[in-house]
Amino acid sequence: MTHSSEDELLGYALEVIASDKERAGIAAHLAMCSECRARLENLQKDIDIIGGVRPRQRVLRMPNPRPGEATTYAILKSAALIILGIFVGLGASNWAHREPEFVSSAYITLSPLTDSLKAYTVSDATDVSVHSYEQVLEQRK
Amino acid sequence: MNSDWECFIRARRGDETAWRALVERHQARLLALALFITGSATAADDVVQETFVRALGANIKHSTGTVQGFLGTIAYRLALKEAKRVRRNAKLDGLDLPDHGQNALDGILNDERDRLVAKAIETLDAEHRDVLVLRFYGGHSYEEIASILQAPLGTVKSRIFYAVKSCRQILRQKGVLE
Repeated sequence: MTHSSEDELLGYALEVIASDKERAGIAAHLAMCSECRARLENLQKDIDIIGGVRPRQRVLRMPNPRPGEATTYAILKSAALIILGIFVGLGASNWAHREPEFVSSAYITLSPLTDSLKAYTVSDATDVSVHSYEQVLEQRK
Repeated sequence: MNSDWECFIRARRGDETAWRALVERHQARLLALALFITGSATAADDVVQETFVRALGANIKHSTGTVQGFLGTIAYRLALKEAKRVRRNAKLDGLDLPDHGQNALDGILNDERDRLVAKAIETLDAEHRDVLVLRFYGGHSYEEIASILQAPLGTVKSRIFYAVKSCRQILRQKGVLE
């Protein structure tokens, strides 16, 4: 079996082989030759090293956002927050425990006394005993 | 739209988390690209900062290609401009160009292997160096490189092949590669 040359493998690894036939030929050979696969793997590692220099980095200052982008973004963000706030408020009001509402006496309208009640005063209702009250009820019948 | 472009767009709106992610992903490669073209650590730092300023301020209508390729193109053009400016000033002043080589690399590359690789890349002529740098550090496809350099696709592929082959030979002699 004729092994692939180093140039062929390098061209294959770099994906610079223009001829489909040549590329297919190398691929077919690699499929059945573990030795050439290992050589290709080493070549790929070399390429990664050549393309993998990592210099020391300094902290970069963040550029100011684009004026148009920043304004639009701020408007959209504010609108979204307002809408969210409304929904959260509505939801909270539905689920919240409700205390009895205090209503000022100023707003309570008393209905006029009926004729039957006008005959009794407050003291009648509080001072009379249960027995005498029952008597009153019987008299009304 | 991929996550890299989403991150880019959030960063240009002023999102600091997106900005940090963008820098984390791309700064090192861009810095290496600028270092190889300018030969100066200080100039490389400035080029990278300016690259981000220009990229985030650019009026982009579409987001085809990759963010790395977009940033790489800006960094490459700024680095070329900076290298020309330094050469022109040196000529006007009647001075020899300062030998940035070893000093620049020592200052910015902590790893010995990285220093030797960088020196190997520096030995390439500009045509071969630029193709290698655009491919590996700019993140460009061969078609994009052909467009940037206004060169035929076959020429670009031929140059990357010989650039890598040459670097491998140097690095083998130095014992960096097996």
